[in-house]
Amino acid sequence: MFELFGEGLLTALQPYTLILMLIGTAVGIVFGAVPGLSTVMGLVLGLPFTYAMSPAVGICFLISLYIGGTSGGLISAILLGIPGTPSSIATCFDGLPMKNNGRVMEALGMGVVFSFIGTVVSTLALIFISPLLAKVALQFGPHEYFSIAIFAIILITSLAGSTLPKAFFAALMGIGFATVGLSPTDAVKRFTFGSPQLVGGFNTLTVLIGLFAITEILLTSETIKFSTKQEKIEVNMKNVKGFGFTIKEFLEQKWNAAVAAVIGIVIGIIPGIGGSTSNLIAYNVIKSRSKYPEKFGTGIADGVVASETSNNASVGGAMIPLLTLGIPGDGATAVLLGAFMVHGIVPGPLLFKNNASLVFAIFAAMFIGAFLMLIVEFFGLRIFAQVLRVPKYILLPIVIVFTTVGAFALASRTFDVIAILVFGILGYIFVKFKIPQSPFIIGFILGRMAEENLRRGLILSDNNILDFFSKPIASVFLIATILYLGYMLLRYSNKFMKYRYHKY
Amino acid sequence: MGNKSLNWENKDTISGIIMLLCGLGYGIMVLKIPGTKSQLFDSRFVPSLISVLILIVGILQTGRGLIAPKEKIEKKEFDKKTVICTFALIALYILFYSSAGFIITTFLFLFLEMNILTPGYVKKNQIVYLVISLFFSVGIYYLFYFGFSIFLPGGLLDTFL
Repeated sequence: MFELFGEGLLTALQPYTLILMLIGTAVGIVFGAVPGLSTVMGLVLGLPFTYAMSPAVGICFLISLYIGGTSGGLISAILLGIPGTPSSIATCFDGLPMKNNGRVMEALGMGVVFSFIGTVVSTLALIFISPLLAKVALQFGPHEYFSIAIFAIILITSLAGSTLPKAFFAALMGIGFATVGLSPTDAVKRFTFGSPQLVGGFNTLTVLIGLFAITEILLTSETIKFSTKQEKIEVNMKNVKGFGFTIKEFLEQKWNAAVAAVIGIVIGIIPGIGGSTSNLIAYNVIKSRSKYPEKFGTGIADGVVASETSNNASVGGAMIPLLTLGIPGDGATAVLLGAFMVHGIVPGPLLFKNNASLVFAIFAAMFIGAFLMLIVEFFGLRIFAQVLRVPKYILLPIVIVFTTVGAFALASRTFDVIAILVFGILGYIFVKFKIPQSPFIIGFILGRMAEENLRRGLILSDNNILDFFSKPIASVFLIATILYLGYMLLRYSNKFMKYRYHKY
Repeated sequence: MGNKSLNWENKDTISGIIMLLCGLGYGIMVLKIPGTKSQLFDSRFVPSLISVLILIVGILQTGRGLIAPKEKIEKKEFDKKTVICTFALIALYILFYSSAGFIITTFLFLFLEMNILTPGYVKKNQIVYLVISLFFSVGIYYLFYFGFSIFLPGGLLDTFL
């Protein structure tokens, strides 16, 4: 086994490969950082370039892009308050306040370093867990997927930090929007109003661009003319020692990082959900377990650490089902799956047997990619920070243009560009009425998965819903969901009684 | 219970009513989905469930808002004109994206929006805005054309591009 690891390492360490990985990392960070350009898009665009490369080199290039892209989102999340990718949504919650409080280098440094840690830890998990997990995951069927999806939706809704009716409304609206299009399993047209474009449903990216970019510019326009101070941001790296924070601050985050890494890895492993989900869940979990949950959202490092460790940990996590089963762990790994196919390689249990040196090249690439990301992203921060020195009234319109390009580039149709306007308005209304956005996003992303697997499971169980409880893993999650839901409703009605009667 | 009148102006009440409207709207649209009469769990199941749940949530929220005591809310500084102008400009930009083409709409959008958003204390330098708008509208178009083979809408300029 060690000789194969050595072989893989040699492939990854060749100068040609390293240069390509450096380019891949930088490109990935740019795609990750710019709202409207996503990691998936960067990977799709990078894919044709790999045709001329050998499979191992091509995949190494794409992996470095993936890691850079996942991490790059933190730059705009912190500096602009707009997540560069869905994986950095939760980074905005504390990253932007930290910047506004004058602690931008600490936020960026923490984000980059803990992205690195998340990647490394999850790669270790990938190496040691993948053979074992292949066996268990083989048993997952629609019943299990449905139960997990429902549990995740309820969990995020409850942790949204808002009153339950509003949070549930957001989640339900998210699921509702996800039902637009062809229904799963029987392809019935729903809410399409005769439009061929609605048949395909809404793209997740358009939801995110709309909810963040468009909403952001509308919110900014409310008060921008009243601003009296210069809005320019100074990112001063001269007096920054190391990565912008002390060793003490670093060690204070060790448990947050550990928990977030585990969450990221686990969510990454579950096919279909990855960094875009784990950053929100990790954030909410760490917030609820914190000794000072009320500080989350005001600008504390814990929030950034939670989000960035978990989203990069999901990279390694998402690679596990991809390599062991040939099932993509998230959108980005779906592109990697395509890359494998193009090069004539079938990922799965046999990959470890027949092409072990490639597998080890991938492991090596993940470590190397993590190091490259750490160095390029941190020392290139000044370059990225230059973007921030552009005044907001010039920057935001340009960002909006890029986001329309991003939306358009998905499928070359203006429908997606119109969709970002729709979700932008929705997001603005949500903010005005203090309705939380994360349950909406989760409801949208997981709602489809939940319904699809509910119906598939029912088909397999002959429409017998009780059959879901006969499957051990599925019933565990379902019972947990029911109990948790009951607990939440009890707590809400208690709070509500206090609210109602306290006022009088 | 001391306060007998219902609070209709509360934000919670308004959001609750919006929720009810959403639930109703969604529910009415659900009726258009063809269903399988013999099956409970068909394509209508989840949407119907969602609409019912939204209505329930809407009732809870409206109720919560209605019984809340009346409070004077301080109005924050809110520049309605800029928000509406920005919104209108984005809407026009997007609606004419394909027909007029990327370069034209982007140029106009950038130029006008930068003007709209400039804070009062800054002296507007129209030449800078002009240059930036031109640079980005043409630059992005060709970057994606040659760099990524993504063909943004040419629109009215199709014959020249």
